[in-house]
Amino acid sequence: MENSLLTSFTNELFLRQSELFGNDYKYFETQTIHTFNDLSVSNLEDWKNTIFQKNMFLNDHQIFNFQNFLFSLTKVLETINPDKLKIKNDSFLEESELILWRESSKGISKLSFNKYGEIIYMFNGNDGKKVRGVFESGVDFDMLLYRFLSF
Amino acid sequence: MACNLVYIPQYLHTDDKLPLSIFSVGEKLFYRCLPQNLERPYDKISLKDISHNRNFSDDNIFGSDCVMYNTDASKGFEKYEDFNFVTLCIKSLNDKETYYKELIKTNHEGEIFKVEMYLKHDPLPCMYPHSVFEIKLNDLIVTDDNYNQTIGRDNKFFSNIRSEIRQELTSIIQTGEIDSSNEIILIEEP
Repeated sequence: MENSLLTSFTNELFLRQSELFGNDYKYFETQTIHTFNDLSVSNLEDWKNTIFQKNMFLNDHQIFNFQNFLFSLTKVLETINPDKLKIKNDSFLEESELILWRESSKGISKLSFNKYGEIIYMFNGNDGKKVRGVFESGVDFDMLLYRFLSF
Repeated sequence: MACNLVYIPQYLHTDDKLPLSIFSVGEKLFYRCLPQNLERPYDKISLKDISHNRNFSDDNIFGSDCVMYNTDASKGFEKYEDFNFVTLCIKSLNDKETYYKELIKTNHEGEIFKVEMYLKHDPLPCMYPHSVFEIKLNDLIVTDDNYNQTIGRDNKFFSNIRSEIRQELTSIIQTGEIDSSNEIILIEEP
């Protein structure tokens, strides 16, 4: 993704989050340690390694895709308060899936990394709206992350 | 078949009562699940076990506690003590007065598969309100016995079909509403 586009969407996310978390945001500048699901994001390796340890079933396709996702996330975290992203992770052993998900006032967005090397984006709105996209490894992860974080 | 479980109230026994194929807007369904499965993202629904209890729009007789009874004599207990339940409400129905969704999918070889999901009243001897979200693949009802040969096939194509069914079902649980009218919006670019 072009730097200007990345800057544009991180700015937009910043604004959206400022609106949603205005009361919290005013303290952001004074924080020295940020957390990301209770882990420091000063080193995203911690978060990645914890997920890998919790989900030993992950195959090479899933690891590759998740690392690409992290690469995009790293760029975003240079600008966005990680406390507000609230990305959670879960797994579904019956399908050998790693699932990242987050909830907003509008609904729940999810990214599933399946064992066939696909990344599935899902959004279920509280109003019943459902959105779905099935992508291969070559997907633009920056844009996918943007969609994931935008709801 | 008669119900031999003495702890289940007589009014819940099926006896000679016939299935009631139609549902009503406003009618509630109760879904029993473990507390940890109540947590979002709700994706851990096994497609082999999507039983609910309907309430026939009668909160007094067919209340939510009915769904906590164990109807399997071999398990040796009366109620699912450690379980919770979610309540769903029917918001809209199709012309057959039930919930119905149809997916038409084509695989890489050009084979076309029709997947249907619908809500069906399926009384058990000891639980007349028992209902299921039944799934059909090319007009064949998916059961425990044929799951691995039908919708449970281990490949990318069927994995995606299962995922899409789960998205439909989780949306129902998330919103608490059974609504046949909302379709999934498919996107091709992120």
